Amino acid sequence: MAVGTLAAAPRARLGRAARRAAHLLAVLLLVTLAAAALVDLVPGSPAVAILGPSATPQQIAELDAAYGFDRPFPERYLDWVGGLVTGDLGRSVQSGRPVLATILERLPVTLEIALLAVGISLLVAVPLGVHTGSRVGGPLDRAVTAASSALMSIPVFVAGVVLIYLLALTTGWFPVSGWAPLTDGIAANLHFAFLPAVALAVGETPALLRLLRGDVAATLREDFVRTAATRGLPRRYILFRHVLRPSALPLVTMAAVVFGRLLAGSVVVESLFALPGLGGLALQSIPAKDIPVIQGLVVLVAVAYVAVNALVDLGYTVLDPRTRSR
Amino acid sequence: MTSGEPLLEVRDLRCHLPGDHGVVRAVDGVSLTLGHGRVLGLVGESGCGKSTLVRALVGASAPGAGVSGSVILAGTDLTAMPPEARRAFVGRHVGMVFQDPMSALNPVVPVGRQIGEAVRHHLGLSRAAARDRAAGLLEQVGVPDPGRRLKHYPHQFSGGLRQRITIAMALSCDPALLIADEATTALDVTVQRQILDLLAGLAGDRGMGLVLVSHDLGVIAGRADEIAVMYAGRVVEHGLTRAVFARPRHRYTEALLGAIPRLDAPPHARLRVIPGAPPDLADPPPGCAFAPRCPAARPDCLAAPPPLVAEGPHAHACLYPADGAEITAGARRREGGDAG
Repeated sequence: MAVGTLAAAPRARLGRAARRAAHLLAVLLLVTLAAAALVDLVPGSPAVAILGPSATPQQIAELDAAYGFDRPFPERYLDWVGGLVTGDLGRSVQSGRPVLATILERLPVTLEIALLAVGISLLVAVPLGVHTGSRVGGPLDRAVTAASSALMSIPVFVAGVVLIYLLALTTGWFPVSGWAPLTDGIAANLHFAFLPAVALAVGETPALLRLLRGDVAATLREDFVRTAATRGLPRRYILFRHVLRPSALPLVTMAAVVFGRLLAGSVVVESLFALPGLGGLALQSIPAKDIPVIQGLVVLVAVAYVAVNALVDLGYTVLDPRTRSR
Repeated sequence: MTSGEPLLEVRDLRCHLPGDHGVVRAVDGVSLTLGHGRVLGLVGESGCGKSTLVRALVGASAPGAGVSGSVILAGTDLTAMPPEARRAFVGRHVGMVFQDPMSALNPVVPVGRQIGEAVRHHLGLSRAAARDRAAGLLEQVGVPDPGRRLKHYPHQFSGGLRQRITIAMALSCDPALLIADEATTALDVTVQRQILDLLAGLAGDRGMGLVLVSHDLGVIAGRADEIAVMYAGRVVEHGLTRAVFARPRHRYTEALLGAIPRLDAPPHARLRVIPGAPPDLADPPPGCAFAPRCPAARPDCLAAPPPLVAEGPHAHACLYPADGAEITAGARRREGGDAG
């Protein structure tokens, strides 16, 4: 990297890595404390909540002993965090299977849908955002602004139902619901993944688009854009080479936040399309008071957020060379 | 480009900008001619319309500006071209250097690419050829270690080097005309001098026309072949540099020259300033725009703006010009009477 020649750069980078690590630890500490406290937050005893009102005292005592619900908080916390470090998140109360395996089984589905949804959103938002930002008030800008206000106000289940009706029931282009893992081949997999991803993208695209539109309009007022114009460079070239990159930083942050949110799994979309993802897992586990699984999901989401933020940091240094030396 | 015609011919160029208090007549009837390889200094205080004139010349006026008149570059009438074609033509044949090199450079694009991109578009060079050319240009404008520096970003250069980079960008397509709009104003005095020497040297070596725009007569004095003085959107005096300095005709030019601090002045002597302020261009006075500040103004100066009248190669727009004023004034009064 070019900035490596500046003496201060490596130290700055090290400092940032250290800050990032401290940030990660702080977040994990808070999240694990909160997750462990879930047991105490469930009204009454978790064992009673799980077994129901007709449970015998003996059954309750057995469950408490098996999952350690009756032990004091610090002991329980340390035990659980110790397990976390070694990859042992306990066992599901419902199925008796290891929590980690249960989550890892469903993670790829949610991960893929989230990636596809963000990808589709960006694919639509970037060209439209650049175009409308460069012609604010033009006919396309007004049409897109109206359309995005409408799309933003459509609940995701309505978008999903309409998509299913139009693209699955009426035309038969896509399956109504279900899932094919990547091991069935990429074509079969995308066939099932496409509609749910589009349903999520419908809600996310307008915000991304309007963010980019505003930043493009602001960048266009910069001197370097005007000098590029006086050098006779074609308009399209100026937009994509000189305007898009400096305008893309807020977009990258926003897209990462969206991705982080989608990683927790969309309960609505996963239910609608009968997807075996994390949202469905949460939907089963929460009413069943399957505390080990819920705790695992909470930790996963926290780690995902921190990881995504680290990626955004990295994205910044790629997009804006000035942040490299800081 | 042929040599029979002048490099640049501007005829009655006007640029009226929409303002809060009505139309601002920022450029109000400028005519200029510049020969091939000549260096023109365009001088005037802030707000006199220099930069608006430059933007109008290259077809980069602010949106909503009302531009009229014609600009002919080496026989091609730019004002008759459709906007896109004009932009491409100007980009190919005119280089521009602006005041603030930091904001003129894209902070997130390596400088080598910014220098080479116009070459790729206008001359159709390959990526590698454009890079070699960019390295050659950096060398010419005095950036050390050009091969390595191509990959660097604007924030990694000093102010003086940044301005050298924008000059390399302006030169990339081998323009016939280079316009430097306050190109040294934002720089340290020592760097200022280096950049001016570089610009003048490059213009001489390449036989390129150069327009040096500045509010500072001192910046222009040693380098320009001829000087045009602007006041309130018009050229009020135009002549060979030596002639303008030796015998300024317009009272504004005279006052400008008088305001330059002199080394031979006695210590603690007060600097001479021009009293008053330039007129509001949204509501200019009916007569000579300088008349309200002019020590030699007479009632007829307030009637109508005096036209730019040539006396040989030296033109001025003053009814009672400095130095030999009485004779010329009499002649001019009669002329004005005949015309009016």
